[in-house]
Amino acid sequence: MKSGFLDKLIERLAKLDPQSLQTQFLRLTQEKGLLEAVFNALHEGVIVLDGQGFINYANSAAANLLGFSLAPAARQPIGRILKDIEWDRILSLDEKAWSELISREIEITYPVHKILNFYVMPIALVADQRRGAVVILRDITGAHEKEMRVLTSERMHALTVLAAGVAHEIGNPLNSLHIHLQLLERELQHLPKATGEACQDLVGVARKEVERLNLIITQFLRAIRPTLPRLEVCRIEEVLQETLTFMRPEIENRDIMVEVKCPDPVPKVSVDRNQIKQVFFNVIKNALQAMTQGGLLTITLFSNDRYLGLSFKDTGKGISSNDLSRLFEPFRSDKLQGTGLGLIIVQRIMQEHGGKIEVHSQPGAGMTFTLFLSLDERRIRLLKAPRKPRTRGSHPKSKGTS
Amino acid sequence: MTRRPTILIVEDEKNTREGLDRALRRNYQTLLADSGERALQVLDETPADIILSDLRLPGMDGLTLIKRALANDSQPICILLTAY
Repeated sequence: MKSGFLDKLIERLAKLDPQSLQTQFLRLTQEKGLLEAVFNALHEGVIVLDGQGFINYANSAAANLLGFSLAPAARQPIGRILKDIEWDRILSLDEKAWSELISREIEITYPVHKILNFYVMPIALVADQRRGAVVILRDITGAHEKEMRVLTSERMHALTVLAAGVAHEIGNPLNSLHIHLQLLERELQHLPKATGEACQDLVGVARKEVERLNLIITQFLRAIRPTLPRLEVCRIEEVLQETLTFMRPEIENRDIMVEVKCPDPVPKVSVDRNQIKQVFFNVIKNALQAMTQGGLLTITLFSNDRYLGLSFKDTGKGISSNDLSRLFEPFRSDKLQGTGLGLIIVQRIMQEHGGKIEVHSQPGAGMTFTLFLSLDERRIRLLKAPRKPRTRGSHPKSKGTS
Repeated sequence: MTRRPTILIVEDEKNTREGLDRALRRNYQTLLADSGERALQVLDETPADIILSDLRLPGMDGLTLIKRALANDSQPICILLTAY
């Protein structure tokens, strides 16, 4: 619709016969309908204001973004819907100031939390020759979040590098301290027995503390240093058995029974064998430490067409939902010998493998830790042939106790 | 009496270097160096049976030092120390 056409139409209005008037009127109505359809199809919100800041028109995107319904919005003051903006000042700006685009970002909390880019442009309203304004709103929540994520991850990266550097530097004096304590221990052997033994005890405590510091640093570096997994196709049940064999002395020592339920066959997955072994080690260690003497750890392997799952269910004391939410916070160990970093390592490795972790627990009812590793290829879902599931179990029980 | 083997300790941390020296001097003839460059100078004067070197050193690193030392006629046993 060209404005030239409208000017001509207005000029000739008095001379038009009813028939042509009706035709032109219909044509204008159709054009208005078309424009409204276009405006409502826009992702950007469009609001037209009169000189007093009342809404003359709003498209559906504007109504959705700001959470008002179109019909009652007309003739409402904009200040009621978009608060925190000095509408009086904006609408009373002089010609020169109006000619500059007014743009800013605003954060809204209703109807949903969003970040909007918002700009106001002046328009001359044809009907009454008074000024008005168009408000254009664009939802930039996604872009804003992405920007924040990049900022956060850059900040995290800088902190990680700094922390790793500090931890590494602490390692040097610690190493020296360890050597000197060993030398001191050697020298103490030449002292008279009574004095020597008392001093040996003191040095022993100091050495244990140095070893604990060293463990914290090693675990800390392992938790924060990103290491890309070297993926290889693995039989996960083998990796699990290797971990259990490695941990057998501790399992026997605590008189804990381990039962492995493994379907046949287990789909192969691509993982970094050593890293996943570390994950199993930490999860099992966590379970063992949660149980007093004589508990049962049930490890169940299962799969669907997307994931291979391993659940580790212990019969320990379990934790409350409040503590559950803090499970992956660093240095929150309630164990005597824990560094509070074991589960962070599990989380990091699982994240780098594109895996997932699920934890269920109730106080007094033990804890179930489930790891999901994605399968290389989605398997085609087939109907299962009727077959009795095989159960394999290992029962490492300590000798002499029953 | 058999000759005590010679061990060259290359470590830039003074306390660690001297601690290792004290721990080993009973059974070995010890030589000390605080850098890879210094270690090569020491080796020019006194060949060592064993080189115990830190991996991270200012200037030349432990690995380069070992490669250079092994290029000589004497083939010392080389042990690299490294922190994780």
